[in-house]
Amino acid sequence: MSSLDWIVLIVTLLSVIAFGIYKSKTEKSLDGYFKGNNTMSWWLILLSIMGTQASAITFLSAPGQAYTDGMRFVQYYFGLPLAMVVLCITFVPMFHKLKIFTAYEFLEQRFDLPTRSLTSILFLIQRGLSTGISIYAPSIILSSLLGWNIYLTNVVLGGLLIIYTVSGGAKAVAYTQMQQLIVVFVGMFLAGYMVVQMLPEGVGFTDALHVAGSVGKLNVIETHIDVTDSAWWKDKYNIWSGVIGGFFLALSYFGTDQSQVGRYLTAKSVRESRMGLLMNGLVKVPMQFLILLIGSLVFVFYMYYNAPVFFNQKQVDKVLASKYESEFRHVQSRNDSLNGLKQAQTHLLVEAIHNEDAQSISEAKSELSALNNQSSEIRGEAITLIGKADNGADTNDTNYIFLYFVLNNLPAGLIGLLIAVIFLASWGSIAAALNSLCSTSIIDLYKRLWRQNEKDLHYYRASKWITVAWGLFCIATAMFASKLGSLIEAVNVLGSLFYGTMLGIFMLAFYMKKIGGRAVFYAALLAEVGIIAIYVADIISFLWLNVIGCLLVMIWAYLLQLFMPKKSNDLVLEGGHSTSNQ
Amino acid sequence: MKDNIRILYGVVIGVLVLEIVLFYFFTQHFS
Repeated sequence: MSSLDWIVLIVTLLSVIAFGIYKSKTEKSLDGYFKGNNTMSWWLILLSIMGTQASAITFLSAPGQAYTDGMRFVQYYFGLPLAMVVLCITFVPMFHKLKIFTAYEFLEQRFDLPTRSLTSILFLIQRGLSTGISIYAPSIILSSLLGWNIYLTNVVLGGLLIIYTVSGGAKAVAYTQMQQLIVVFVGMFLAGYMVVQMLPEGVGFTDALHVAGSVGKLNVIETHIDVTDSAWWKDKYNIWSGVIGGFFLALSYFGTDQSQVGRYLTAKSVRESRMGLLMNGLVKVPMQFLILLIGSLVFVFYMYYNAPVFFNQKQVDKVLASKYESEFRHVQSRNDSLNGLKQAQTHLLVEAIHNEDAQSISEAKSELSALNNQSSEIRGEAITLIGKADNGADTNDTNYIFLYFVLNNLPAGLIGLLIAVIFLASWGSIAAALNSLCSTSIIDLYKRLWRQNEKDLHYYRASKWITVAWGLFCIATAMFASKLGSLIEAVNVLGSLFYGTMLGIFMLAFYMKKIGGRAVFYAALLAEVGIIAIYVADIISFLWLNVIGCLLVMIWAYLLQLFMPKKSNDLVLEGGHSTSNQ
Repeated sequence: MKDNIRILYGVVIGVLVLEIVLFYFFTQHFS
């Protein structure tokens, strides 16, 4: 990185920290610290929800995913807008009516204390570990591509945000997320603009789309269905798993994950919460589409310029220092030759498109597709050699592609800005996670189970220490995180192991009034064991685990309730739905 | 207010359907 990049990076990061500290003034109470005294408008809720969901992994992994697998990942977000509508009708008015701090408080009022505690603990395990991964994920990529020390990078990525998260609580988190998202969107827009600008002369945006489409990189919608084929159930991203699985995942994430619930509980009113969530439902799909489109454009860029056979240079260096060096160099030279053929063929395709020559277009497309298949085979050979040279090697370079492109092609200054984008996107989601880990630890465990009758100031001070403790825990998790596949999926898989069960508990609370606390508690335990067993057996794509987990809890609870005396508090739901349309 | 929110629910679902249809044609057009 050049001096200019360092200046841009440091100034951007320091200005966010300074802004966070400036916005840190809160009332010294739990209401001020966790809910910002309910002063937030819908647009701040919207930005906060988006900033919490979009981590660095989103901006690093998604373009890489489009490069390798095309744009079908966007289907995973199709269930989200539907989930926003359901949340606004059911969850949001109930949470506001009860004036709760965490989603799990509601469960004690509806069921009993063990169900509340169990769900809180499931959340703390899941969110604590996945926050560690969201520190580690960008950290390993930055350290690998820039030669930074991984441990120091972990500390900067997971540590600096603790300053304003501890001092300002939910309010500082929301205001910094707003600032962070502005920088993130400006950075990503400039990156997308630059990719198109750097294409050869005479090749425009539409030409680039045709090239990407001809090799299957614009496969936004995949409707192919053959439920008799067991591979279909393992297919991660098609429209059915996207709409159904994505709906359940989004409902779980936004309805039962305190890192999100805590954002919209800071709103001034039910209306502001609903507006924030619904706007999120409107903008999320197009936003994800555009991020993936950048990845497809990067793919087209590398059709014209030499694409490396593998994007993680650290692993390439390792294999070149091993006994497989000559074999790997041979693979690299074949890749270089193929790059030349791809460039020539891509030029022919664009020329045919300009001449509107249907026959030549069709021929060029099939030729280009064949070359691309050969390219994939060569990449496969390179990956095999990397795996042989280093047993513990990360053979998935999806997350390295976008940053490799940025570092090797973008002008000085913009590189610094895009590195800042990675830091800020991380900070936004980690800060919200720490705030929610703290609120759950304090409200659902410490205040409820250990120290029930202390003054508000005591809990406020304890909250600050707990935030620091969770920050340190997440950094420690990042330090221990080892080899993972596509990191964005790792976080989603971890979520899917717990979210289905948590959603099932909330669905029972809202929709099955005859089910009592004890039945729910044991049903949740049984369902969790079932979900982990299904995951270990590897028979279905992780997106379906949310659906199955949710249904398992509901079925088990229904069956158990037949044999158990009912001991629940249903009063809370009386008239609950009448509030839903306020 | 009640109706405004209901209209917004309709808008969110309508836009999603529109996006899926547009993405379908986008995929077909550029494949």
